[in-house]
Amino acid sequence: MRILQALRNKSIREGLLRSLGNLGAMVEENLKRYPYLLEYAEELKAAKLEVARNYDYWLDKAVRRAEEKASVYIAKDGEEACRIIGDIIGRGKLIVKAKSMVSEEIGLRSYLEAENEVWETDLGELIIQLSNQKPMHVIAPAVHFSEREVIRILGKLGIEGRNAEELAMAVRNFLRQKFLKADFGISGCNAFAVETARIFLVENEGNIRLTTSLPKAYIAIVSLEKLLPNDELALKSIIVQSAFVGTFPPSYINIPERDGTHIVFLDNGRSEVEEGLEEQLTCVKCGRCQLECPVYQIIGNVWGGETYSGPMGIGWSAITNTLENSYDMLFLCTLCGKCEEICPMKIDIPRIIRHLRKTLAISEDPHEPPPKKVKFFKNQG
Amino acid sequence: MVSLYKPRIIADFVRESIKKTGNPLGVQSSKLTTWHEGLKLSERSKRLLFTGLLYQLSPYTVRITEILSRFEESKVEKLVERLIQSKTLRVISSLAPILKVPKEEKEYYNGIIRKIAQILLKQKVDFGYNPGLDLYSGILFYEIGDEEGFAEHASRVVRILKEKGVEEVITIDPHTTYAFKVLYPEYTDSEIEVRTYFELLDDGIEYGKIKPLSDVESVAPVTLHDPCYYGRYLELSNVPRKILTSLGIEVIDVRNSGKLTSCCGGPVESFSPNLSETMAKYRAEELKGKGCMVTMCPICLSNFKRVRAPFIDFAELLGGLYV
Ligand code: SF4
Repeated sequence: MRILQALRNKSIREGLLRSLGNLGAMVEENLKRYPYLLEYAEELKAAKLEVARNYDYWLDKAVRRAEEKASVYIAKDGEEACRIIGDIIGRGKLIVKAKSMVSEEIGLRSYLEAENEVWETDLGELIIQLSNQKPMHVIAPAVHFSEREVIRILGKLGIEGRNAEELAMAVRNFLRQKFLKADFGISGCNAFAVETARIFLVENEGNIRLTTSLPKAYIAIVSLEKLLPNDELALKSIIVQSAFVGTFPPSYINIPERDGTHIVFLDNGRSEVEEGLEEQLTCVKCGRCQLECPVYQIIGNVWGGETYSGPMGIGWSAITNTLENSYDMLFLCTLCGKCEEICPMKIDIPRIIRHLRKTLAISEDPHEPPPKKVKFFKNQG
Repeated sequence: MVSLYKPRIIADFVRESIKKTGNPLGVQSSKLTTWHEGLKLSERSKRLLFTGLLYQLSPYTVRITEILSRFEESKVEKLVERLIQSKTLRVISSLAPILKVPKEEKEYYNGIIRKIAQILLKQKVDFGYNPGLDLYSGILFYEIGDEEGFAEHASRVVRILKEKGVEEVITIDPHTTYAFKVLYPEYTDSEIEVRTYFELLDDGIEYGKIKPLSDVESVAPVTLHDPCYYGRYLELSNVPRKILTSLGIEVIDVRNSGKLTSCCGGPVESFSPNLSETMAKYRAEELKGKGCMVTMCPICLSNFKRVRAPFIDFAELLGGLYV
């Protein structure tokens, strides 16, 4: 979608502002009522930075602990992760998925769909799956769809309902059959406690609980920035994330421990991040910066990279090496600084964006087109 | 693929213009420093009013943005880009004549600076003005990611001011203020003192010089659009509010003000002028109906004016009240 087209598409703004209206006040209320949240956030940022500086050490430790109770794999990049998961699953299987940005990042759904039946079980993500789009927001992927559009999209599956409640109920009924018959459940991970090798997942719909427990086997994708030394920090991490999403306390906290668990640790650029981008790795993906960004509020995920969009999306796209096609996007940021102001981790996103712009500004010959492939790895200059 | 004016081309134009003419649009510098005529300000003062040229450049920016806006994502977008590029190559400093900036507009923005100077004079603030030392801060270098270019430009500005014995500058816009207060100490060996004109007025209140207005009843409440650099980065938004309150003027704030202020969209005006306009429209909508809409940044002001939102500058408001 082009910018002018996005400007005309009022439903992006309406959806995002509706979300901000619902959630924003709740975040502010949470912060007022539970002042310890800010302390947690600060503690968490320090811990995440510390881990980010020593991923080798923490990954090694995580793998050893995890091997005591699960089959463990390490994937260097998205392609490898898809291959590993594809090999675990085989073909002709029924798979239910929890909403996971990391699985979007590596293109897992479409990879598996080639030879299996795959269902997203988060209502918003299911709509994204059926409409073949990228998520609008990290937490609320389908905010930009009107009720009418949702009715039409779900209608493709024969799911009917006159309003949101009826549709949600009908989707639940539809998915129940899938959960019961599923061979594999797949989820991401909100925080991973290295000491205990526990996966922490937070949600409000209850579908993650079913995804991780009902199917015959369960696969978790744990990207490196989710590693935290212990249970306490992992719990604090999901508390901070849900409080800054707005829904706090969350309806469900899951710590799935079961037979038939496979854990895939995913790097995909994270361990090679250069100093200027390091701070982004402390992000808890609450999506607050997306809702509060004045550019994002208007053109939504048109502004961003292939998977991650908005203020946080610039850093994440650079980390996961998908920024090169959307390099010009860096210049749609006004550097207004609102994202940093409202970010629980106080990530200096404007600094990250200026840092990435540098690559363009310093190139020698002004008449050369911008570099096609922009490398952000520290050892490649 | 998303289409916007190629940042690379815009960035190069800006960088080359600054290098050749001292300002990002390539306008002849002498045209930008005429606002003070007749005010008899000393050129030799150690404390100078330093406009940083942004108010004076606004009418030119508006004109350019209007042109860019018309052709954004149109068939001739690429042609416009090439034109900008060719400017970079050859006739860089001759941009101004083809723009046909209306005289009234230039006078309007010059008038705002004049008001600021008059208010300061009225407050008996001791300061001077030297057109030859009124330079562009270079902050666009920094914003487009060219830190080296910024450091070079900033060092030159600091050297020139130092050579002439300037010890303190009075700034009038948030971008120049941020450059001097935060960036110059970091990127240069600047020891130049910086105060915004409204901080000096605030001192005036402390000394009891600013008195509540006698006819407060007749002044409508005000709502302030805090520029991002003042509201968020420099945390100065309480100062204009204090001044207005001490004059007995009610200030009505929305949630998105002060540290949470929302951007007017100005800084992306050349990359996607239509996005920039839409941002200004929505921001104006948010502030509408709260009171007289006031801002204190030439980029915000001109962006709002471009979408016909009735904003005035803080200096216009004060000037109207007691000059
Ligand atoms: S950058 Fe900050 S506000 Fe944005 S998603 Fe990450 S943690 Fe949340």
